[in-house]
Amino acid sequence: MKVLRTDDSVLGRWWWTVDRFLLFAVLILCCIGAMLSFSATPAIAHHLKLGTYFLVNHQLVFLGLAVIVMIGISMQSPKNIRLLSVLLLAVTFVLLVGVLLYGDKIKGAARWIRLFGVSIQPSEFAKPAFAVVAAWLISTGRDNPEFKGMTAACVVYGLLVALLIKQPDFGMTMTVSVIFFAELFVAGLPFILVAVLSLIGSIGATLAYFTLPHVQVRVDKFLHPEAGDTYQVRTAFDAIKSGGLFGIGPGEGVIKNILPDAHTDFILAVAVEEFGLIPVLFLVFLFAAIVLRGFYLIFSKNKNLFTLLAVSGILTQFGMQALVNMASTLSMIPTKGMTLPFISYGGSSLLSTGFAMGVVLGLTRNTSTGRENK
Amino acid sequence: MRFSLSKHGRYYCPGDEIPLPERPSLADRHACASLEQGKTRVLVAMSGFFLMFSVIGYRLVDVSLRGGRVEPVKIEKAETQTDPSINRADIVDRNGIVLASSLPFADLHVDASKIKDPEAVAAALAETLPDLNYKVLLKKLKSKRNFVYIKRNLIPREQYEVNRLGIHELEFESTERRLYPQGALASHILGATDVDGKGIAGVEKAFNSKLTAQKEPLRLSLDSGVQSTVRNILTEGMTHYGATGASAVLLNAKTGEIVSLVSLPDFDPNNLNKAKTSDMFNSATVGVYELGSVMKLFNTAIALDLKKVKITDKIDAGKPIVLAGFSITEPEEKNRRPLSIPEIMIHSSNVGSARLALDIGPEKQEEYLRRFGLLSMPNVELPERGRPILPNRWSDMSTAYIGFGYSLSVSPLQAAAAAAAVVNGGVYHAPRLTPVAPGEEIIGRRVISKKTSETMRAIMRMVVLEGSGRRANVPGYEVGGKTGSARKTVNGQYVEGEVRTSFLSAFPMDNPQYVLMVMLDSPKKIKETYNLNNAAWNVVPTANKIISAVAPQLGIAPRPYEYKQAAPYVKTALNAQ
Repeated sequence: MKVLRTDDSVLGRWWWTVDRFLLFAVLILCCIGAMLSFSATPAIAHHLKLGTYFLVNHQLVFLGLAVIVMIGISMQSPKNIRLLSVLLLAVTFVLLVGVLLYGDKIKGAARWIRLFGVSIQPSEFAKPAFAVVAAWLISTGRDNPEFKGMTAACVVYGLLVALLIKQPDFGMTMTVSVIFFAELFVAGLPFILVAVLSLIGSIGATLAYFTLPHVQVRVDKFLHPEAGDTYQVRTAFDAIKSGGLFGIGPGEGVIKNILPDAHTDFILAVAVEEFGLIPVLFLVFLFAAIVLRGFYLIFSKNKNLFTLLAVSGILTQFGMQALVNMASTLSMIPTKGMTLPFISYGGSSLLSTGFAMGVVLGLTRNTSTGRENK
Repeated sequence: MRFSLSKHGRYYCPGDEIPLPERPSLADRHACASLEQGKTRVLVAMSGFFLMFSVIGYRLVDVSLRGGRVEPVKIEKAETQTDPSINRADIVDRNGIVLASSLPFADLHVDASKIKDPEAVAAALAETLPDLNYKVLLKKLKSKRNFVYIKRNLIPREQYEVNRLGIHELEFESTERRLYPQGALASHILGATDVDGKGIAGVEKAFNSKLTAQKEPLRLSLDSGVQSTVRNILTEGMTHYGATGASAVLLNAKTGEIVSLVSLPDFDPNNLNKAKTSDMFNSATVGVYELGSVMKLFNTAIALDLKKVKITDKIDAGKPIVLAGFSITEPEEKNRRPLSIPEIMIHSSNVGSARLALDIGPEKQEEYLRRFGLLSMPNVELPERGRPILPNRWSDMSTAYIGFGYSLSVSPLQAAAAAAAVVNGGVYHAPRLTPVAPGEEIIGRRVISKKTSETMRAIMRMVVLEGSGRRANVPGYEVGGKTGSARKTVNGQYVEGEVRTSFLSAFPMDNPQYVLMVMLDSPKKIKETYNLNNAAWNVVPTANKIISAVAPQLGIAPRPYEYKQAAPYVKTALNAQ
């Protein structure tokens, strides 16, 4: 398809304004995710007594949907993005309440709800929607002193966190908090408040350690690997070591048969085992490139506070999730079940990340004015 | 959808563009400032992410190429800690072959009251452990009892399979179990352990505290290869001659080490509950018997050692001996004549032996027999030891009867140890199951002189060359010995026609290395043996087979002498006195 610069259609304008580096980086990530789903999920599918390619098909369908959502969102105007985010957040709130009332309990927490025959994890969608809505509220508050944007954002944040803690889902609470913190930080939060919020965060983490047994177990395992069962991390390390520079070959890995969360939390170990260090270093580079390119775009070209905040929030969430996942696998932090965006198995996570990257691509589109395009 | 956020209608959201005022207002300048500050902060975030992704990349390379920072040594330690520690040491033979070993097992039990779906659990278990019966399992699982054993002694493989079922109500208890890889081979020596792993018989009992205290295996003097040969041939002989029981003892003549000890019938210590009480009776060490003519060996040795007779002296076996109303008559007509000392042994003369015994006298006889270790329990490392039965009153008649093998009951092991003293130069060593350590000084007890021992070797060789031991004349191994066919007593009464035959032998007689005692209990009179059942026809051929097979196994070089004639060392010894 040849798109002329003079093409004034929606597609033409989109093609010439979207940041193609970012777009292709994300698409390559999606391809890698599709490839790895062939490696990581058949073993799990077999364990769950599903067809060999049941989870592969599932993942590929959602990957396709995620790309469609991403491109669709990236074509929207900032106004529409805000509108869609407000809608999405509203729906998410309803679903989160629904989860608390009717949700399926998985591993001790109610996080999923069945809707039209599909299991949905509403909290996944809360992340990008909240990032956009909070950015909008804060930036509007800045531009218009009569609107108490900061207060409104805090109220939305408080409600969301209350619903997440009720599930309980502390990982998601942490993610939403990091998004909110990143936006407050970029919005010019005084350093004294940054210090105070960091302190509150530390106190919260300490409190979690002493009040939540499973958090304590994981931290203790991390701090004293010789004392406890570090089976997952040890297995992951063995896989990484056996992979070497070029891996033992696609589909040849064994860790996926052993580790229960090989297709989600430990997918990086599967990747290193089968494809080797060099391709996976490229994967790490891709994540870094997406995050840094995104930040670079809002740093160099953007003249709009809302975009600055929304994109910062989403990129921080995206980057932090990747970092936490990889650091867990590499035993640099206590194991925390966080998905690797676009790579780990999971429909809700994929669609949510697609939405998030769509927002980033849409808001960073290069318009001549630097203003919001209509 | 359009809703106002401002009373003044100046700014609308969501979606509407902020109209740029003609002149920058205070608010706009404020917005501009916060945008600049925001960009500075974005730079901070970028640096942070760059740093963190770099660290991840470095760590990935580090783990992949150099193994990272996980403590592999400590993990290995943790893994060995989870292994159930074995509390009982192995028992090995003199060559290090394992005779008894403890392995980790697991007992599977369950709290039946917690089982929600007993049918499914029972079905899964019956499939995984096929020796379990579904109905029995279901009954157990439905019993609501808090503690039910499903199966004991699961091997690790079975435990793994049960774990794989993923039924978390099923619980394991680690145990260890004693296994005897050689089965019944050395059952009477090894003995057995109870369910708690405590030794209850044999070496397991005798060395119980040592086995639980040490980690290194307990080594026995036994040679399992020789033991296997002896056991096989003895089993064959017992069946062939229709005997009800049999025993064999093979001793190192110079040290008293037990190289082989078999008592038949025996049992499989792995399957103790199938063993009958009679199977567990050790006829080689617990059973004490009147050995009959075998005892003439010791009688002759004592007489020679006391110099009561010379080897060339003739003893009259023609006239019966009459003592306190009982008379001892020579059973065979052809021997009712004056006999030389070797002839008394070769023809196994009762009257001749009785006369020698009376020459020795009760006091000296008792003293010598005590030094031969025949009057007290042998000092061997086994709990199963028989106490010899001595005559109530050591009268002249007892003395005469002991001279040809009655009135004194001893175990085959005692007889073998005493015969070792007869042939090895005259020194008695208590039989032992622990091997002689390198450099260990073995102190024995002198019973007869070296010279007497030499003469006795020649006489024993003559018995095999010309007497009842002829069928044990294995070419090259210079076998010597003495047979005995003792009448069996049941409840103190002699049973007509029933005998216990034995052959007490040593080889090679020019320098005896090993003593072999073989005994058959009640061999039948069969056609092959011309309806005879004395020792020469059954136990001697059996001993022949044993010696033929084990002498090469024991590393004895065949002797260069013509095996059908008396070798020079025999002639010298017989003509010396």
